[in-house]
Amino acid sequence: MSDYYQELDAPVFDYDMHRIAGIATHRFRGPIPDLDKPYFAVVGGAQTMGRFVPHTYGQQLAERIDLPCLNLGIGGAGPRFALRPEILHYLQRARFVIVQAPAGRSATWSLFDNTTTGRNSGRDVRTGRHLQAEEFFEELFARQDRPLLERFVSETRNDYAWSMQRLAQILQPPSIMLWLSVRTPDYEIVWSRPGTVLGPYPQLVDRPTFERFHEAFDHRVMCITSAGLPQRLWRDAPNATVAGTTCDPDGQLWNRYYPSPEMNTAAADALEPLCLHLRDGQRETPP
Amino acid sequence: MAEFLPTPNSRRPSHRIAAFVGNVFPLAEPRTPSAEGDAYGRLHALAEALDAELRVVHGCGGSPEGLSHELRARFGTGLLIPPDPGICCNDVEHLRACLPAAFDELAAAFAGMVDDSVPAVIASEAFQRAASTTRWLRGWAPDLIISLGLGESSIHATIASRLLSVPRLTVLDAAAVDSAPHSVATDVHQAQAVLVADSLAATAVAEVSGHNPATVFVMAANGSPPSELAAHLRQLCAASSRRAAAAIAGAAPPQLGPKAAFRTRVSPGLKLPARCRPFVLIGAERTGTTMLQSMLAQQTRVHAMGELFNPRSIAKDILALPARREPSEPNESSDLSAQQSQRRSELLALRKANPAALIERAVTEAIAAEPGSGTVWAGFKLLYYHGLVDDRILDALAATPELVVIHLRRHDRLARCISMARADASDRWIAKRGPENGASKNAHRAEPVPVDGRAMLEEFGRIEQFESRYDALFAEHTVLQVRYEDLLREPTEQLRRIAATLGFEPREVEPTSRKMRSDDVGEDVDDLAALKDALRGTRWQDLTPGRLAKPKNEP
Repeated sequence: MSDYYQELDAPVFDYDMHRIAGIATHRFRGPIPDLDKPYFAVVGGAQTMGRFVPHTYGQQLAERIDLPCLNLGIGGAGPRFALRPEILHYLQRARFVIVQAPAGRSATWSLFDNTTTGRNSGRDVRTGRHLQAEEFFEELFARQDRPLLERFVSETRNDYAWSMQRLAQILQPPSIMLWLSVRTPDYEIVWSRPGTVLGPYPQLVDRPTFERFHEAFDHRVMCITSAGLPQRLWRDAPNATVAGTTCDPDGQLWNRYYPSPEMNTAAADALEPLCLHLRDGQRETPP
Repeated sequence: MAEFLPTPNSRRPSHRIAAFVGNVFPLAEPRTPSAEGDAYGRLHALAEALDAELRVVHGCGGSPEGLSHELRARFGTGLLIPPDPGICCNDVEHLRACLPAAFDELAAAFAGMVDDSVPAVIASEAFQRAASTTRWLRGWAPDLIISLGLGESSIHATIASRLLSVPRLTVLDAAAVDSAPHSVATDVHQAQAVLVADSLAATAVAEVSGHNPATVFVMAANGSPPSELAAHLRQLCAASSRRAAAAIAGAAPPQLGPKAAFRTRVSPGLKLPARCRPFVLIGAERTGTTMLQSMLAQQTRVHAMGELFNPRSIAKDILALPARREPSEPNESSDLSAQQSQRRSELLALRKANPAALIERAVTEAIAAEPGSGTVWAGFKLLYYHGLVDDRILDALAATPELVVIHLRRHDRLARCISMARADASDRWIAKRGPENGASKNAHRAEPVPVDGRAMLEEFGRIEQFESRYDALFAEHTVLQVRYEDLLREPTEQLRRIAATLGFEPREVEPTSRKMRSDDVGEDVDDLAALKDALRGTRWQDLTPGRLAKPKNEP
């Protein structure tokens, strides 16, 4: 997905994508540090990869605390992505790990299996067909089957919370759960309005779900802001469609979804004191 | 293939035993001098001691190419089931709906065992396959489940045993006890009796699992089960044992048998006008259902509707129902158009909300369109996989005793698969007849179809599974079996048969669709040798071009 974003955003952004040894399926945003020397790792979705952001929160932190950052953020990642052995391999070697709370839609439930990919693509259990989660959701919502929708929400949250807990338990380095969003964990579904089911990013993660996993991590940092949104992007053809953006009639593209550069800076601000502490090998929360 | 229905005039043994063995376990005669043969020998001896009918259940998680020669001969039978995602998923939903408490408990237990979330466990292919086997067994109604060894067969046995409240015997050899004590502990914990190779193993098993030593039995020196095991199992097989086990768990034991297995919810059945004679055309794709539907639709006072529940149509909001009527006056057009639009919206919503109600409304409208008060025949076409879309469809049909089922089958299974592959590749599913001497307006000249032998083998098995399920589902209905080959060869005669069953006066008609290809299968397959190689050892191995690809044991 990150390569897909690179392709879409090529007119303006160079995400400096690189391969990492042992991970054949994806490329990651550089700079890639020397992995034989100390580094910290960030993992999450496109918000961590840093779509539309010249200077991600991970990179800003790296400069501030003088410890390189390995950015394992990838578009569409869910919590199971970080549980993949080849990803865990690098997380376990980090000085500390920042786990951005990813989208809930990238999770498994009884009719959609993403356990292999850990991302927003998976297997339709009914047909065996592999497809994007969004395509599956469209079909699901079109059925207008309220009990099935409720089951989808409940099971997805269940799997999400389980996966986040599992990740927190498995991680050996100190772990920070980063909530980077325009909203708090509190949101309600109004079943008569399908648009409220997924909710704003991170989709499907509500307060009860959040409460099930956040304390499993060593630390928690909440960065709730919409600073810099909507973000003015580049000018394209009139009414152009670039995935993840909105377009004015005159072709001006806007980002209304991914964390803005200002939000990334706010995240770095919020993380810095703790990361300085952890950089020095301390596990406990600084005073 | 009558998997579930009793064979007429045969004595039924007192009990039924389902034995779970692995994929690579060869099926051998009872007295073959090999370890595997001995195991089978022991199973047969045990079954004989219990006066039980034995069914050996093989999970089929892997490729049929990996099956041993003897298993390949059984491929496609009820208990060597090719895993079809749609069928498996439907089976999971059935078990979840019918046995909710047991299902939730089992899923949670497995999630703990495999250290994963409950939804992930349910979505996993292993659980889906095991659920499918369990539903099949629910239809067959065993009194006892036996599992040999550990691994997938043990998992399947555990799931079936717990969901169906059927007691279980685990048979373990010395190697299993030595090499995997944790698995033994987990597996044995699920069983009501254990049979091991020697007394040392018995002690080990009792220690690791905490199992009651009184229910751990040791094989005799000659490998045969001890007599006290048979006595214990006889007790377990007794129906009271199931009720007692379920009572301990706080619930009534689940119903077993074909009716329980292939209906999901108690349905009141379709509410239809008294003068309606309802029917349904069922079959796989490419078995003449469209042709027969068109012939019936041209009969007087017979309304044969299309595929009301085709998943593709549902996804695209397409409805296979005729419009009410055309406007007779120009100024009626806009009103009627609005009415039809309104009607269409209502019907689409009804299809999602209540499939039975859609059928009822469609039939009622069809009857209302017929003048007078005489009988009207109304039905629709339901392909096998349409029934997977929503269990409520089949539940409603099965609960309608006056429904006549017209079941089409194509005995030349290879020709059917070729036809499927060609239609799928071209996305042309129907060839219309033109006005010139019945020839198709679209000349259909095509290259030979590349055929995947393994996929074809799985398709054969899948269709047989569907056939068995629908036979079991409608066992108490009037069912008219129609062979596709007979329909092609003598359409008038087949129509007469159907008319006689349904009770209408037939008139000879031309089908509006035609067969799309020639009868010579050899022309259609690009690598017949590879295909024959894939089928070697299976029940369809005697295929030659032009010969019917039907199993040896079929008439």
